Amino acid sequence: MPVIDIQNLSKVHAADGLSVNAVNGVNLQIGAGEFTAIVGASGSGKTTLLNLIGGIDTPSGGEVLIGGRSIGRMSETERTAFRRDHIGFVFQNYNLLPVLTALENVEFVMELQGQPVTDRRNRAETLLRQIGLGDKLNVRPGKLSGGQQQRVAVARALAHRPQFVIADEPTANLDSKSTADLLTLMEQLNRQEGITFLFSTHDSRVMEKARRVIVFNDGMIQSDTDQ
Amino acid sequence: MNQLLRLAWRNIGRKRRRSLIAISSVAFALLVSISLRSLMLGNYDKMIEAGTKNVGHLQIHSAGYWTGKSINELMTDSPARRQQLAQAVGITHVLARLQNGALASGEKTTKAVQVNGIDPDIEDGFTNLSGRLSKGSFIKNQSTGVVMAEGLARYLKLGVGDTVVLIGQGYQANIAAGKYPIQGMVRLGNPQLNLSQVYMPLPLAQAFFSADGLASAYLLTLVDANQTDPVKNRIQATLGNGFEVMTWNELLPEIKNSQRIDTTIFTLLSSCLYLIIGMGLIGTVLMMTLERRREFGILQAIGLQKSQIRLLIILESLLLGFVGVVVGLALALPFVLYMNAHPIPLTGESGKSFEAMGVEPVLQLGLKPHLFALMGSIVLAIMGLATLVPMGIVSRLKTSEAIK
Repeated sequence: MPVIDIQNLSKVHAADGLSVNAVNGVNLQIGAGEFTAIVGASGSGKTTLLNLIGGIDTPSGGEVLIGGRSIGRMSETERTAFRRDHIGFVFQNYNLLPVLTALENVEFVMELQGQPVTDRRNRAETLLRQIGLGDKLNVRPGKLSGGQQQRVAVARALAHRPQFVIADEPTANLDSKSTADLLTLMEQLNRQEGITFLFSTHDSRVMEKARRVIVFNDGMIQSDTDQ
Repeated sequence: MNQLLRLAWRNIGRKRRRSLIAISSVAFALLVSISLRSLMLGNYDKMIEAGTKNVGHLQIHSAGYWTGKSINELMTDSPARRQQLAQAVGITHVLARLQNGALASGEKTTKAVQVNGIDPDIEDGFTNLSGRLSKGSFIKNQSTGVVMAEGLARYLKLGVGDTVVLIGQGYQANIAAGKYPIQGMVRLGNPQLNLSQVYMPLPLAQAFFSADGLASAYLLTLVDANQTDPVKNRIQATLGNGFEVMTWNELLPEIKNSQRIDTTIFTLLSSCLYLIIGMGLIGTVLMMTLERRREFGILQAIGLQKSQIRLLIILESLLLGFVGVVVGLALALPFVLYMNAHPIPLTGESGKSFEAMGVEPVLQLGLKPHLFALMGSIVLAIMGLATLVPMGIVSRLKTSEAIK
């Protein structure tokens, strides 16, 4: 059974009397442990697709089934709780909470889930050490470089052991070295811990690392290749 | 909840300058409103103190006396009755008075006056009338002379040792007439009273008005001035319908009216102050929300419910208000304490107008703990209201649009 099962998914954006099919009849399955890139030009609809998969947006038609449950049919409260418990997010602009330290940022979702302090602290510390930020536990995001912040964001996305991680253009704001470091880290976590990664990009270096590349254009899948 | 509280607290420190301005405005509003109201309440206390020195906290008359103040509506006065009243719970003094109008004549001039039959010893212990003596000596119970207000004596061109002729209506159509030596003069602050008051011992006044064993009023003073209503009700129930028991509020409605006017003015002023401060705070909380739409979107994306985000905004607003209240109270309390212990003396016309009312000519802030609690609660309520618009914004927030 795939982790993510997308059936005839569509999303229509309406603005100023115009309708745009951002996602148009997409069918897609993502299996456990995949390291998949969705690539496409700006405005191709890949962010909308990821938002629909992550339950951040609701579909106009079709379904997104995660572990057999239709995320589009959930209420907003249920979807938020589902995201908290089952999905990890990495955003383009890192989006860490500036008033929390690196350790507290990683702990944040686990604390929301009500995990005991010792458990969540151990898990957050382990993850931050694993990604090479063991010496930055009590540093706030403002004092970290872009690459370091994005690594903290990856740790935050993984901390509560989600079913999969969605990363929307995770390397867009990083320099080449930070991009290489982040990709190595994500690939390592994928191989060693079997975490499913689904990320959007238009960066060729990222595409090279992906084991499956889905090319997205005008809201539709143009090609789907294993490499 | 702890997580949100910690987050809220740290978010307040995020834009330090803005938070400091918001906290300062709350503290300033509290300092001004508490000081202003304390000054008003301090003055009321002085007015009430001065007023009750003249009329007591409670007065007992024969039923219907107060409306017409007729000499024919007197009540029986006896030491036994005074004793009985003095023993009632909460009473400190019982003063009998026999008061009525008369005409007073000097050698060439005549003037309408108020004759006050008093028990000099007890009265003096309460009103300290002898402290206002400007010439001569104060009367005693057995005295055959009178004490006259200084202004009246001047008007009648009389001095200590001279004789004043009093003529008026006595009890039940008797003619009240008599000649009395002036034993002393008192200087009364109120100009009208200073031109009209004559004091004599109660037995002498009873003889003058042909009202032996009668009095127009008993003045009662209480241990606790705030207990006038329950004590009044108790005494009224004991005495029955033949008597009327009145509180100082009823006897001096002008003080209550003045309180009402001042309270209305204060309410308007403080409402304007709080409105201005409140608008500023609403702006601050609104700004704190609008500039973090993306952050709220991210928080929702990673699992924070909208209700939790709304709670976060409320906590931030209340914490901001709470710090402002603490700072405001910390400034207001020592100021009020100092101004209570060190009243500002009033001189010139202002001082004279206070003295005219028999009120000590000082500006003294009253110490009212409930005022601190009330003003603090108002600010916190405003901070709560300031979150309404931001909470609406969060409720309408679309995660997918907010995180763009």
